[in-house]
Amino acid sequence: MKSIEYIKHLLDKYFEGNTSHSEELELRRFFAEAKDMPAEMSVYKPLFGYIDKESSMIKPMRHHHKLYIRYIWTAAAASILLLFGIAGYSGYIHGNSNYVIINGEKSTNVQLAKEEAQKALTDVGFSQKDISKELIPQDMKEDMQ
Amino acid sequence: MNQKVKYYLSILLLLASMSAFAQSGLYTEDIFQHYGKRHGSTMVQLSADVLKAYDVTLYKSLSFHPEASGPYGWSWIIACIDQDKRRARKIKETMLDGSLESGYYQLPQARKGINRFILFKVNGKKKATLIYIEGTLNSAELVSMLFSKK
Repeated sequence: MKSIEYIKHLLDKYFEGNTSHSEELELRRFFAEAKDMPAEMSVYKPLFGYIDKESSMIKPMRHHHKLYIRYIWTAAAASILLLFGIAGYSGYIHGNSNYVIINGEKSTNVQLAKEEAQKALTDVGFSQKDISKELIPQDMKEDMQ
Repeated sequence: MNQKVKYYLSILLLLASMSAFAQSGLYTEDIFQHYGKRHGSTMVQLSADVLKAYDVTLYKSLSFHPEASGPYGWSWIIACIDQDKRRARKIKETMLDGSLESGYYQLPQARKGINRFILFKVNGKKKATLIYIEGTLNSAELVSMLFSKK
Protein backbone atom coordinates (compact mmCIF):
# COMPACT_ATOMS: atom_id res chain seq x y z
CA MET A 1 0.00 0.00 0.00
CA LYS A 2 1.35 3.39 -0.96
CA SER A 3 1.84 6.00 1.74
CA ILE A 4 -0.84 8.59 2.30
CA GLU A 5 1.66 11.34 1.53
CA TYR A 6 2.49 9.77 -1.82
CA ILE A 7 -1.23 9.49 -2.67
CA LYS A 8 -1.74 13.13 -1.70
CA HIS A 9 1.14 14.02 -3.98
CA LEU A 10 -0.48 12.01 -6.83
CA LEU A 11 -3.83 13.71 -6.16
CA ASP A 12 -2.18 17.13 -6.45
CA LYS A 13 -0.55 16.05 -9.72
CA TYR A 14 -3.91 14.63 -10.92
CA PHE A 15 -5.77 17.88 -10.35
CA GLU A 16 -2.99 19.77 -12.03
CA GLY A 17 -3.36 17.42 -14.97
CA ASN A 18 0.18 16.12 -14.74
CA THR A 19 -0.37 12.46 -13.84
CA SER A 20 0.73 9.67 -16.10
CA HIS A 21 -1.52 6.74 -16.99
CA SER A 22 0.25 4.47 -14.50
CA GLU A 23 -0.09 7.08 -11.76
CA GLU A 24 -3.82 7.36 -12.41
CA LEU A 25 -4.06 3.59 -12.20
CA GLU A 26 -2.30 3.76 -8.82
CA LEU A 27 -4.85 6.29 -7.61
CA ARG A 28 -7.74 4.13 -8.76
CA ARG A 29 -6.23 1.07 -7.20
CA PHE A 30 -5.71 2.96 -3.91
CA PHE A 31 -9.28 4.22 -3.73
CA ALA A 32 -10.63 0.81 -4.69
CA GLU A 33 -8.59 -1.11 -2.10
CA ALA A 34 -7.97 1.26 0.82
CA LYS A 35 -10.30 0.72 3.74
CA ASP A 36 -9.01 3.49 5.99
CA MET A 37 -8.09 6.87 4.64
CA PRO A 38 -8.17 10.41 5.96
CA ALA A 39 -11.55 12.09 5.73
CA GLU A 40 -10.21 14.79 3.41
CA MET A 41 -9.16 12.07 0.96
CA SER A 42 -12.34 9.99 1.15
CA VAL A 43 -14.20 12.77 -0.65
CA TYR A 44 -12.28 11.77 -3.78
CA LYS A 45 -13.35 8.14 -3.54
CA PRO A 46 -16.60 8.62 -5.48
CA LEU A 47 -14.64 10.37 -8.21
CA PHE A 48 -12.27 7.45 -8.78
CA GLY A 49 -15.02 4.97 -8.02
CA TYR A 50 -17.08 6.65 -10.73
CA ILE A 51 -14.17 6.40 -13.15
CA ASP A 52 -13.93 2.69 -12.33
CA LYS A 53 -17.63 2.25 -12.92
CA GLU A 54 -17.37 4.19 -16.16
CA SER A 55 -14.48 2.04 -17.38
CA SER A 56 -16.47 -1.10 -16.58
CA MET A 57 -19.33 0.31 -18.69
CA ILE A 58 -17.02 0.88 -21.64
CA LYS A 59 -16.43 -2.84 -22.12
CA PRO A 60 -20.03 -3.82 -22.94
CA MET A 61 -20.34 -0.73 -25.14
CA ARG A 62 -17.23 -1.82 -27.03
CA HIS A 63 -18.78 -5.27 -27.33
CA HIS A 64 -21.96 -3.73 -28.79
CA HIS A 65 -19.85 -1.61 -31.08
CA LYS A 66 -18.04 -4.71 -32.36
CA LEU A 67 -21.36 -6.47 -33.01
CA TYR A 68 -22.68 -3.39 -34.78
CA ILE A 69 -19.58 -3.26 -37.01
CA ARG A 70 -19.96 -6.97 -37.72
CA TYR A 71 -23.62 -6.42 -38.66
CA ILE A 72 -22.67 -3.54 -40.95
CA TRP A 73 -20.09 -5.74 -42.66
CA THR A 74 -22.61 -8.55 -43.02
CA ALA A 75 -25.15 -6.15 -44.51
CA ALA A 76 -22.52 -4.73 -46.86
CA ALA A 77 -21.45 -8.22 -47.93
CA ALA A 78 -25.10 -9.20 -48.48
CA SER A 79 -25.69 -6.07 -50.58
CA ILE A 80 -22.62 -6.74 -52.73
CA LEU A 81 -23.73 -10.36 -53.16
CA LEU A 82 -27.20 -9.14 -54.13
CA LEU A 83 -25.79 -6.71 -56.70
CA PHE A 84 -23.55 -9.41 -58.18
CA GLY A 85 -26.51 -11.80 -58.19
CA ILE A 86 -28.76 -9.36 -60.03
CA ALA A 87 -26.02 -8.33 -62.43
CA GLY A 88 -25.11 -11.95 -63.08
CA TYR A 89 -28.70 -13.06 -63.56
CA SER A 90 -29.48 -10.05 -65.73
CA GLY A 91 -26.42 -10.83 -67.81
CA TYR A 92 -27.52 -14.44 -68.09
CA ILE A 93 -31.05 -13.58 -69.20
CA HIS A 94 -30.41 -10.49 -71.26
CA GLY A 95 -26.73 -10.54 -71.96
CA ASN A 96 -24.98 -7.26 -72.37
CA SER A 97 -23.60 -7.78 -75.80
CA ASN A 98 -24.85 -7.26 -79.30
CA TYR A 99 -24.59 -10.21 -81.60
CA VAL A 100 -26.15 -12.21 -84.37
CA ILE A 101 -26.04 -15.98 -84.75
CA ILE A 102 -26.61 -17.18 -88.31
CA ASN A 103 -26.64 -20.93 -88.92
CA GLY A 104 -24.92 -21.44 -85.57
CA GLU A 105 -22.11 -18.97 -86.33
CA LYS A 106 -21.91 -16.09 -83.89
CA SER A 107 -20.87 -12.64 -85.02
CA THR A 108 -20.52 -9.49 -82.94
CA ASN A 109 -20.71 -7.28 -86.02
CA VAL A 110 -23.28 -4.71 -84.87
CA GLN A 111 -24.12 -3.57 -88.40
CA LEU A 112 -24.91 -7.13 -89.46
CA ALA A 113 -26.94 -7.66 -86.28
CA LYS A 114 -28.92 -4.48 -87.01
CA GLU A 115 -29.63 -5.61 -90.60
CA GLU A 116 -30.89 -8.99 -89.40
CA ALA A 117 -32.98 -7.26 -86.75
CA GLN A 118 -34.57 -5.08 -89.47
CA LYS A 119 -35.38 -8.20 -91.50
CA ALA A 120 -37.08 -9.83 -88.51
CA LEU A 121 -39.10 -6.66 -87.85
CA THR A 122 -40.13 -6.61 -91.50
CA ASP A 123 -41.22 -10.25 -91.20
CA VAL A 124 -43.56 -9.48 -88.29
CA GLY A 125 -44.59 -6.05 -89.61
CA PHE A 126 -47.87 -5.09 -91.28
CA SER A 127 -48.53 -3.73 -94.70
CA GLN A 128 -51.37 -1.64 -96.10
CA LYS A 129 -52.43 -4.87 -97.81
CA ASP A 130 -52.76 -6.63 -94.45
CA ILE A 131 -55.01 -3.83 -93.22
CA SER A 132 -57.19 -3.89 -96.33
CA LYS A 133 -57.48 -7.68 -96.06
CA GLU A 134 -58.76 -7.25 -92.49
CA LEU A 135 -55.84 -9.31 -91.18
CA ILE A 136 -55.17 -6.75 -88.49
CA PRO A 137 -57.51 -6.63 -85.49
CA GLN A 138 -59.53 -3.43 -85.12
CA ASP A 139 -57.88 -2.22 -81.91
CA MET A 140 -54.47 -2.67 -83.47
CA LYS A 141 -55.54 -0.47 -86.36
CA GLU A 142 -56.61 2.13 -83.82
CA ASP A 143 -53.12 1.99 -82.29
CA MET A 144 -51.67 2.72 -85.74
CA GLN A 145 -53.81 5.84 -86.09
CA MET B 1 -32.60 -7.86 -31.87
CA ASN B 2 -30.35 -10.85 -31.61
CA GLN B 3 -27.41 -10.54 -33.98
CA LYS B 4 -27.88 -14.04 -35.35
CA VAL B 5 -31.52 -13.28 -36.15
CA LYS B 6 -30.45 -10.10 -37.97
CA TYR B 7 -27.82 -12.06 -39.88
CA TYR B 8 -30.21 -14.77 -41.02
CA LEU B 9 -32.86 -12.15 -41.83
CA SER B 10 -30.39 -10.43 -44.17
CA ILE B 11 -29.61 -13.74 -45.88
CA LEU B 12 -33.33 -14.51 -46.24
CA LEU B 13 -34.03 -11.08 -47.75
CA LEU B 14 -31.17 -11.60 -50.16
CA LEU B 15 -32.49 -14.97 -51.30
CA ALA B 16 -36.07 -13.68 -51.53
CA SER B 17 -35.07 -10.71 -53.69
CA MET B 18 -33.01 -12.95 -55.97
CA SER B 19 -35.84 -15.44 -56.43
CA ALA B 20 -38.29 -12.58 -57.12
CA PHE B 21 -35.95 -11.39 -59.83
CA ALA B 22 -35.68 -14.90 -61.26
CA GLN B 23 -39.45 -15.06 -61.80
CA SER B 24 -39.21 -12.58 -64.68
CA GLY B 25 -38.21 -15.48 -67.00
CA LEU B 26 -40.37 -16.18 -70.02
CA TYR B 27 -41.31 -19.45 -71.68
CA THR B 28 -40.51 -18.03 -75.10
CA GLU B 29 -36.91 -17.69 -73.90
CA ASP B 30 -36.79 -21.50 -74.27
CA ILE B 31 -37.55 -21.14 -77.99
CA PHE B 32 -34.59 -18.78 -78.37
CA GLN B 33 -32.44 -21.26 -76.48
CA HIS B 34 -33.58 -24.28 -78.47
CA TYR B 35 -33.58 -22.88 -82.01
CA GLY B 36 -31.13 -19.96 -81.74
CA LYS B 37 -27.94 -21.78 -82.68
CA ARG B 38 -29.44 -24.13 -85.26
CA HIS B 39 -28.63 -24.35 -88.92
CA GLY B 40 -31.31 -22.36 -90.75
CA SER B 41 -31.91 -20.03 -87.81
CA THR B 42 -30.93 -16.42 -87.30
CA MET B 43 -30.89 -15.05 -83.79
CA VAL B 44 -30.15 -11.41 -83.01
CA GLN B 45 -29.62 -9.67 -79.73
CA LEU B 46 -29.19 -5.92 -79.44
CA SER B 47 -28.92 -4.04 -76.18
CA ALA B 48 -29.52 -0.47 -75.03
CA ASP B 49 -26.16 0.88 -76.20
CA VAL B 50 -27.18 0.55 -79.87
CA LEU B 51 -30.95 0.99 -79.40
CA LYS B 52 -31.14 4.27 -77.47
CA ALA B 53 -32.78 6.10 -80.38
CA TYR B 54 -35.71 3.65 -80.39
CA ASP B 55 -36.45 3.72 -76.63
CA VAL B 56 -35.59 0.02 -76.61
CA THR B 57 -33.29 -1.45 -73.99
CA LEU B 58 -33.29 -5.03 -75.26
CA TYR B 59 -34.18 -6.53 -78.60
CA LYS B 60 -34.07 -10.23 -79.40
CA SER B 61 -35.28 -11.85 -82.58
CA LEU B 62 -35.27 -15.36 -83.92
CA SER B 63 -36.10 -16.45 -87.45
CA PHE B 64 -36.33 -20.20 -87.67
CA HIS B 65 -37.96 -23.24 -89.20
CA PRO B 66 -39.82 -25.16 -86.52
CA GLU B 67 -39.35 -28.92 -86.45
CA ALA B 68 -42.06 -30.72 -88.39
CA SER B 69 -42.24 -33.43 -85.72
CA GLY B 70 -40.75 -34.26 -82.35
CA PRO B 71 -41.20 -32.73 -78.92
CA TYR B 72 -39.94 -29.27 -79.94
CA GLY B 73 -42.20 -28.84 -82.94
CA TRP B 74 -45.13 -26.48 -83.57
CA SER B 75 -47.20 -27.63 -80.62
CA TRP B 76 -44.32 -26.96 -78.20
CA ILE B 77 -43.73 -23.50 -79.69
CA ILE B 78 -47.42 -22.60 -79.47
CA ALA B 79 -47.51 -23.94 -75.90
CA CYS B 80 -44.57 -21.68 -74.94
CA ILE B 81 -46.28 -18.68 -76.49
CA ASP B 82 -49.55 -19.61 -74.77
CA GLN B 83 -47.83 -19.69 -71.37
CA ASP B 84 -46.48 -16.17 -71.81
CA LYS B 85 -49.79 -15.07 -73.35
CA ARG B 86 -51.54 -15.92 -70.07
CA ARG B 87 -49.56 -13.15 -68.37
CA ALA B 88 -50.07 -10.67 -71.21
CA ARG B 89 -51.90 -7.37 -70.64
CA LYS B 90 -52.71 -6.92 -74.32
CA ILE B 91 -53.22 -9.71 -76.85
CA LYS B 92 -53.70 -9.31 -80.57
CA GLU B 93 -53.72 -12.42 -82.74
CA THR B 94 -54.59 -13.38 -86.27
CA MET B 95 -55.50 -16.96 -87.09
CA LEU B 96 -55.30 -18.68 -90.44
CA ASP B 97 -57.13 -21.98 -90.97
CA GLY B 98 -57.45 -22.36 -87.20
CA SER B 99 -53.73 -21.89 -86.56
CA LEU B 100 -51.91 -18.94 -85.11
CA GLU B 101 -50.54 -16.82 -87.91
CA SER B 102 -49.41 -13.81 -85.96
CA GLY B 103 -49.41 -12.74 -82.35
CA TYR B 104 -48.72 -9.51 -80.56
CA TYR B 105 -48.50 -9.65 -76.79
CA GLN B 106 -47.78 -6.89 -74.33
CA LEU B 107 -46.50 -8.39 -71.10
CA PRO B 108 -46.56 -6.86 -67.62
CA GLN B 109 -43.81 -4.30 -67.16
CA ALA B 110 -40.37 -5.68 -66.33
CA ARG B 111 -39.98 -2.79 -63.91
CA LYS B 112 -41.58 0.63 -63.65
CA GLY B 113 -41.72 2.25 -67.09
CA ILE B 114 -40.16 -0.69 -68.92
CA ASN B 115 -42.64 -2.33 -71.29
CA ARG B 116 -42.16 -5.81 -72.72
CA PHE B 117 -43.55 -7.20 -75.95
CA ILE B 118 -43.52 -10.53 -77.72
CA LEU B 119 -44.20 -10.63 -81.46
CA PHE B 120 -44.67 -13.80 -83.43
CA LYS B 121 -45.46 -14.45 -87.06
CA VAL B 122 -45.42 -17.42 -89.40
CA ASN B 123 -45.03 -16.94 -93.12
CA GLY B 124 -46.28 -19.15 -95.92
CA LYS B 125 -43.06 -21.15 -96.09
CA LYS B 126 -43.56 -22.21 -92.48
CA LYS B 127 -40.76 -19.99 -91.38
CA ALA B 128 -41.42 -18.42 -88.00
CA THR B 129 -40.21 -15.14 -86.55
CA LEU B 130 -40.21 -14.49 -82.84
CA ILE B 131 -39.26 -11.12 -81.36
CA TYR B 132 -38.87 -9.97 -77.79
CA ILE B 133 -38.67 -6.21 -77.16
CA GLU B 134 -38.10 -4.47 -73.87
CA GLY B 135 -37.99 -0.72 -73.38
CA THR B 136 -39.77 2.51 -72.59
CA LEU B 137 -41.55 2.59 -75.94
CA ASN B 138 -45.30 2.11 -75.70
CA SER B 139 -47.71 -0.07 -77.62
CA ALA B 140 -48.63 2.62 -80.16
CA GLU B 141 -44.98 3.40 -80.88
CA LEU B 142 -44.24 -0.27 -81.45
CA VAL B 143 -47.22 -0.78 -83.75
CA SER B 144 -46.30 2.26 -85.84
CA MET B 145 -42.73 0.96 -86.00
CA LEU B 146 -44.02 -2.40 -87.28
CA PHE B 147 -46.36 -0.75 -89.77
CA SER B 148 -43.53 1.20 -91.33
CA LYS B 149 -41.51 -1.96 -91.82
CA LYS B 150 -43.44 -3.13 -94.88
